[in-house]
Amino acid sequence: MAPKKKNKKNKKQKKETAGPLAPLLTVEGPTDTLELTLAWEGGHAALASLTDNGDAVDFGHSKGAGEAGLVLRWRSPDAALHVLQWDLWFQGTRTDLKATATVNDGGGFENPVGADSKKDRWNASGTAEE
Amino acid sequence: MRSPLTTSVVALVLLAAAGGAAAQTPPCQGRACVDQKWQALHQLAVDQLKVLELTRVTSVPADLTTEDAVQARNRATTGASIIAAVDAVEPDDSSAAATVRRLAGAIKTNPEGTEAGLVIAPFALAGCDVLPGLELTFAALKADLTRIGVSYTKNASPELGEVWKTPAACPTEARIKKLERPRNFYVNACTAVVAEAPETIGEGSGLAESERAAYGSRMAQARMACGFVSTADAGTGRTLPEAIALVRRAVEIINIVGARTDRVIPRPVVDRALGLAPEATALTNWTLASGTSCYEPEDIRGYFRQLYWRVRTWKVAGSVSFDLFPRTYGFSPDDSQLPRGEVKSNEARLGFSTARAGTEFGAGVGVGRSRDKLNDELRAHISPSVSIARAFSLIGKSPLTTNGELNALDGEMPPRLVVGLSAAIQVAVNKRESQDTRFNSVKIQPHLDFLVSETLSFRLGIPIKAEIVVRAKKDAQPETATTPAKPAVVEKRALQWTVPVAIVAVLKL
Repeated sequence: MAPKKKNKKNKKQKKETAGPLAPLLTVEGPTDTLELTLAWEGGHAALASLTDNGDAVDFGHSKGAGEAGLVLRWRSPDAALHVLQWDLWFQGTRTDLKATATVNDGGGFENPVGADSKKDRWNASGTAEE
Repeated sequence: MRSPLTTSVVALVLLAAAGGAAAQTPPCQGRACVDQKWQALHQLAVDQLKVLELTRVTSVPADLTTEDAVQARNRATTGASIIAAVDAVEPDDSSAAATVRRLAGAIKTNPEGTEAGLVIAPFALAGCDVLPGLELTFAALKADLTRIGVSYTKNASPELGEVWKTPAACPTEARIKKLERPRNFYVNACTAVVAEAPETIGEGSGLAESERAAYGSRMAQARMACGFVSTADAGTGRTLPEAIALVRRAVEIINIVGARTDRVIPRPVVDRALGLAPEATALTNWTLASGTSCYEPEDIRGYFRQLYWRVRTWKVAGSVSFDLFPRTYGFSPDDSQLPRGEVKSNEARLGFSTARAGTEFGAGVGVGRSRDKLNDELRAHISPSVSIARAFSLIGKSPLTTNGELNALDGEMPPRLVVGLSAAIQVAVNKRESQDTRFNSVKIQPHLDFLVSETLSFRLGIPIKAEIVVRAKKDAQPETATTPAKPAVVEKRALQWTVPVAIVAVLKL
């Protein structure tokens, strides 16, 4: 029950975000703030693509690459569910891959997303909700 | 004939009816609504895929400023430009580069100049990420000498985050076709399950309040995702991935409730939901084909090679090695001292190599001490070395580069010809009086490497060597009855050069 209260509180925090961003990048209407944490072992990796309900999220090279993990935070149009899909690229094999997500600082993936070991890429998806 | 008053009343009634209709649009129902919603979702998905290619980014990093956002868009728009990571050429065999090149491979047999031996990267062998460049050398040399050594190679190339470029998006046509995959499930689930299932469950079902609330919530979301709502409420289920997930979850909860209750949900609806369960499971986390879905593993490997091709990469290495005499026991015919594992030579080396776009340069320097025989004194030396190499296309049909970009074939470097030169000298710090040069040795090798594949290569090289040879001291011998007198011969040490008359070819597999 406690998480539900938190979620209701978070719902109220949704805000209109039109205005300050460039026209093509404007997210109109209420938004959700999502945070996706990708963790792995074995060396550097970079995010080749990330989509939220089919919409692209671009972090570029500065925040889209890491040695042992990435914490990615973005706003996207309000939705009951967020189907997140990512494609992480790396050289060789990475192990102990784990993904967690929050929507408006609450909730998470419907099912745990992870893998013991992946070669060349980690292409996976998960459904996150508040 | 109608009176004006009657006409006014009729008009007011009509207006009221029209106003009521505008304020409360009746929920859409039936197959037509589902088809209409599917069309809308499909069209949006097509737009999303096209946007992904162009690229309009609709979700934005939470902390982007306007300027950052524009850069993100520009970056995405120019995503087709590819730059990237490889050793430019096959590492050189000169002693300077020999230490540097040890980064790859956990075990190597037959280290350079040895009869037998191996190089072990203990941490890499154990699958540990710590100190991957640390290597230990154990080798047997000629004359029963033993070499032990340790080296560490540091890859000081730019980190991935510095060279990373978002790969070009895959073509949209094939990805649009994949949008049809969940259509049958969506239409069947919406028309035969979601539309027919009760929107809420009463207390009489025996389910807990939280379970009934969860059911009601999922059904309400699914009805929106199926298009069974007025347009004003159509925010939920806006996109195809979300809509499919919502409908899938409705099917799942109907199956759960249907299994735990009796006739709360009509039996035919439960049966149809049960029939859709496998497809619902298969569509867990279904979403649009990503912008990089067309890249195969070999494409990814090739992409990384391309990424590092244009940037300068660095490797630095340090090593310490000892060549030891054997331990010998027993009878000594001339009463000379027998070796007990003493040091014959030692050397500490520092080296580096740098490569960019097919050109590699390496250099290093070592300092150490050595002696020829056990009873000689250890004499200091310095041994600088240098190497340079340049890669060229080997086969015209598969050029090494196109417009300056590396062509990766199935993730590997194309066949290539490497032209190189390596040189190493050893200079005596305190040379013997009998040695007429400070050079203890000189090695120069121009070479052509034919790198056909990652596992097959040939080297054509001309190893030019110069080493110190010794003319032994001899005392003067007086004339005897059978031999004439011989003058004394002083000891002399000088370089002797060797140049092969044929080109040496080495096959490496």
